[in-house]
Amino acid sequence: MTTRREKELSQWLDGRLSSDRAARLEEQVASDAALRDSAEAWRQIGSLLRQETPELTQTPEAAWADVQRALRQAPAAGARPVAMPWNPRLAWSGGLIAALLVVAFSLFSLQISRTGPVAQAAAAQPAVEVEWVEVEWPDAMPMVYQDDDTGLTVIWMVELETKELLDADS
Amino acid sequence: MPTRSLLMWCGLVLMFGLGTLLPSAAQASSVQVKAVLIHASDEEGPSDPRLADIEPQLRKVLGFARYRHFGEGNAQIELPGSATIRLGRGYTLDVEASQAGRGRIRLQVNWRKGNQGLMSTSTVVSRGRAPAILGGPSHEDGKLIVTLAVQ
Repeated sequence: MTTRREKELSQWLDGRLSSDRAARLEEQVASDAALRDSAEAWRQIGSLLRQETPELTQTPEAAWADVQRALRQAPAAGARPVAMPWNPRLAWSGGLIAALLVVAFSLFSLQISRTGPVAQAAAAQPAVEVEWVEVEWPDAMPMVYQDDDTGLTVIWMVELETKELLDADS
Repeated sequence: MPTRSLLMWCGLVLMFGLGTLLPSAAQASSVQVKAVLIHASDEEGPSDPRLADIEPQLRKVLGFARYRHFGEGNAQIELPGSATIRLGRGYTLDVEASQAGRGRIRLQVNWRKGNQGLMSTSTVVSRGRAPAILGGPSHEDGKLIVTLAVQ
């Protein structure tokens, strides 16, 4: 199958072909066994992917609102002095989590940018791009949040107490 | 006479060009990094006029009621280069700056108190745009925040 035909088949399965071209391709699929097999295989793969892909249930704004709420509820007794032993394992795991969060937010921004011109403006290039974060603090994890309204990028160290409250709250 | 006049005009144009280009070239090869240490809490109290530019945005994003100026520092860093910015109260930022393409600056920052590291991060920032906000360590009844901006 040629690349052009693959592309057309993919568009047909996604319902993105014009009615004329769709009708032509349907005829070809009906008469071409190889094309029919490809179409069926792709349809099954698409169906599997839709089942496996988790729904985006919480927006970054909602996730950050959870953090804000947790900050408000954090007990004053939870405040710690700065002098603490360094834990490199936590630092690296924290960095990994931060990277994942940045990727998640980037994907969400990408999703927004495909929805329309207003959303595209909101998802314009941020003033700050975070490449990585390491938290050198025991029982803490980093979180990165980009606020479109203010243009601020927040790189926040969520302490364990805050995290526990966050989990209990959600 | 025409030759002398032409030379004079060429000289003036050259001087004007150098005068315009040299400062911008120097500016492009270095960056000014400004960092402000802020204490955010929900206690009652007046706003700090030194934070008037940033407080509304912080209030919107972080939600704390009061923001106090704890200290600040800045550094002019040649690109690539590094500097240590002392924020006050024992807090320090170690900053490494380099070009990141398209006029943007890569800042690798290590926020620490004394020898104890708090947070390290690498960000790509633009001159004159909204600052990066580092934060989270608890202090008294609130949280510490550092705003990091480049010019």
